[in-house]
Parts: sequence; structure tokens; C-alpha cells
Amino acid sequence: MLTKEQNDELTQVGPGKPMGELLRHYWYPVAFSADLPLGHTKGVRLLGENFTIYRDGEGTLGMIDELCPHRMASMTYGIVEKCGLRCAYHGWLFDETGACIDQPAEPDSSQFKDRVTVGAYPVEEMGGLLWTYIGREPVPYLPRFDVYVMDGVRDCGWAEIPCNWLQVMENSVDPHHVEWLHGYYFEYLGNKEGFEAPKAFQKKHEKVAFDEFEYGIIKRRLLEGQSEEDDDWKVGHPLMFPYGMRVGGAGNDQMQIRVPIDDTHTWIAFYSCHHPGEDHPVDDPNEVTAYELPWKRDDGTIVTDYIEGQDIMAWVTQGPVTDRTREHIGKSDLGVVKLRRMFKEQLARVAAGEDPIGVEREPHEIIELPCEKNKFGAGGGFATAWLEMGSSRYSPQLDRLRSIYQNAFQAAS
Amino acid sequence: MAPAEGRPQLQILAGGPGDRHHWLKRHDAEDQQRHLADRPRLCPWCGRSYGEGIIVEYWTADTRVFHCWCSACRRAAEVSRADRVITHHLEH
Repeated sequence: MLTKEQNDELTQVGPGKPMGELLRHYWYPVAFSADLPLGHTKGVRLLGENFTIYRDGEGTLGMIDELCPHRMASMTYGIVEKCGLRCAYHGWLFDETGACIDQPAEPDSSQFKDRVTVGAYPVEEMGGLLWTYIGREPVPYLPRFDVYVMDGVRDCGWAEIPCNWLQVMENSVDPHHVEWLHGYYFEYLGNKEGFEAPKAFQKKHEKVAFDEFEYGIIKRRLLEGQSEEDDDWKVGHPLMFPYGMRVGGAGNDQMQIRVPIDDTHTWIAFYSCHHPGEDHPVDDPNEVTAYELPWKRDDGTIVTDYIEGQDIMAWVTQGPVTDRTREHIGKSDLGVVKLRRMFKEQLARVAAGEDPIGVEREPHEIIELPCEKNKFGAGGGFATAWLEMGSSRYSPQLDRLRSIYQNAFQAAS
Repeated sequence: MAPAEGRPQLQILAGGPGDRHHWLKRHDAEDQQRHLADRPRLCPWCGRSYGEGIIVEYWTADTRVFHCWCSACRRAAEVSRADRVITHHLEH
């Protein structure tokens, strides 16, 4: 249980709010590369602010404030030039640094354009995603986490959901929910609706642990029948502060991304790199197969017969922002307690003018993250269950993924 | 319906008979008030106010625990009420 003031502080992500300032120390993915071919724009909403991202005629990526500083019309409807983006309303042209380089209706002799700029933000491309940073300078390096730069086949289901990002993050330090939501509830639903639920998720948790590390919190679980030498305990997997979780197993390495759009909306994405066995295909590292996840039926009910749909149900039904003044958490929620404390610790660092954890100030090629391989002790069966009963079942390349795993299993046997 | 023999009659705290929803809300409100009244004010490590820190209340069995973090000394503490201390005697 928290006070209303503490709940507000932890969940308000807009500019000028303490959490908003903390979150502005990190890079965020805001589009897929494929969504932005040459000469296109896209509207972006991030941390309660609106922007326009574009790729101009020379291939230069830019992201600027959405509203033109002239008469405040949206630049998302702008005209993409060879160099820069021109407002459709009166033709003011801006480049990727935010400089105004043309004001066609002003007198030729006017220097007015030199007085006008628009907010501009760096954009980088990695793993088929477009990343941006909207915080203060100096701009940190974009962290090259392993999943985004390793060889394999990339696949990403995504959705925009109507709730605060923190309720998604708290789920990442709540190991017991797996046993219930993805175990017993899945089995219950399967019995009711006539399908077979995956068994790997039903094992009882004997103990859980949470260890801080330089990028967040490593979560460990010891399931019934396991020993401390099993991957789930010995290696575990990390919550990536402040908006991700790295998971994986049996050749599927995944980053679960939760980008705060604003206080009450979150862009979630399940970004996988499939590379089972030794002889797996390797796609272009800048391409990812992306698809929107269906999570809500026409009648408003939530689709819960797949793993991520169950999670979405648990996150969204808490409401736009969970009222933590009414909750009753217990001993099994200590991961949640630890995460809230970590956010508060990092808020204090930012208030003191320090960098929070995970802000990269050194150049690097790849950041390898700890992550179990043999998840839930289920071996290759985990990958199959994840493909068929998880969000990958909606992938347009599902048949290809199936065959990649079948080939890997056959080669191994 | 008459109460079972030997058990006190349920006291209706709000609304009329059957107003269970209202009663539950009242119960929630009581826990919120207890949280506000009981949350520690001062850090047991450095004695300064928890004003800028965080206090998360959780339950272990029927004990309320306040997990506290102090922004002044950057240390954490867990505070709970200790009504009973159980120990054992060394051989003597």
C-alpha cells in the first residue's frame, strides 16, 4: 500500500514530473524501421509529449516536436523534402537539428528564420527499430543490448494498451503470477474451452529471489523439482530498468518492451530473436517482422487464451493507473516492493544531478545480459509452447518459425 | 436470519442488511487510514524524516510490515509491530 502522493510520483511520466525526468534519461524505440521508408512521417507520442519522426529524401532520420512553431499545425502532415520536413500549412522547412531553413512567405531579406527553431531529438536505427532520446544533453550512447544485435530471425508482436507502464513493470518482478495466470488459469480456461494448456508454466514456486545489477533486477525462481543448479535459479533473467524485461529459453531470446506513451497508455512489444541450434537462419539485422497483437474483442472483453493476452488482462483490468492506496500486497510481492524502492532510489539520484542506473556513457559493441537457457526445466518444449500458445501464434512467419525449431530439434537428436 | 449459536451478530457498519459492497469499501478505507496513521515518520538509521523517501506497506501473515527507504541516508529499513518475542533458553 502506498499513499496517493507516492503513487502519483511513481506513475506520472510527463515533462516536469520527477518520474518524467528520470525516464527522460533513456533511449526509447518509437517505430519500426519498415514503418518509415524514404519520404515518410509518423506521429509519435512518448512520455506525454507529441513528436513527428521522419526520414527525408536523403535518408536522414529526424524527430522534431509535432507542432510547427509558426502557427502550431502538426508537422506529421508535413511535406518531406530532400533535406528536412516542411510544414504543410505555410511551408516552413526544418532540418533534423531543428533549424528553420526556409520561410517562403516571408520577405527575401528577412532573417526571421534564424530566430526560430523547433525541438529536435536524435534518432538511431537498431534491430529494425527506430530509437530516440528526448532528455537533456549530453546524450548517452544507445545501449546495444544483445537481443537487438545478435544473429537470428527477428519477430515482434506489439500492442498499445490503456494503462500506466508501471503496472506492466511490476509484473516483471512478480514470479508467482506465472504459476497462476499462465499455469492454473490457462489450464482452467483450456478445460472450459477445449484446448490443451502448456504444462511448463504450472510448476510450483519453492522460492524466488531478486538481485540488483547494473541494468536493473535479476529475478530468480526455484520451481518444484529443481535445484539451485538449474538455470531458473542460477542464472535467472533481468528486469531492465526502467521499461523492459529480458527473457528467453531454448533458442528464443526476447526483450519485452514497455514504452510509456503517457500516464495511461503503454506501447508493449515482445521482441524476439530466434536462433535455436547451430544452423539457424540469419536475417538482415535491421529487419524485424512486426505485427499488432489482437488483445480485445469487439464486445470489449480481453483475449486470454494466449500468454501475453493473459498478462494484458492482468495489467489493463487494474485500471488506467492502479490505485495503490487500496492494494493489499503480501510477502510474495517483495519483488514489487523492491522495484518501487529502486525507482525511488533512482529518482533521488536524478534529483541530485547523478545519472540513474543503465545510462550508457561508454561506446560499446554489445551488452550481453544474463538470461536462463533452459527455462522452467522444460527444454525445447518451452520454445514450442511459447510459439504456439504465446503472441508468436499471430506472427505472419509462424510456419517459418516452427520449421526453424523443428530443424534444430532434429539436428540435436 | 438469526446468528449461529455462540457467535456474535455481525455488526453492520454501513448501509443496511446485505450492503456488503458498502461494507467492503469501508474496510478498504479503514486500511487506508491505518496506513496513513501508522507509517513510520523517521528513519531508524539516521533519524531524519522519511519525507522524500518511500514507504510500502505489505503483509506477512497477519503482521503489517512497512518497507522504508530514506532518501537522506539512502538506507532501507523494515518496520513492523512486535507484540510478542519468542526465544529459547540456552542450557544452564
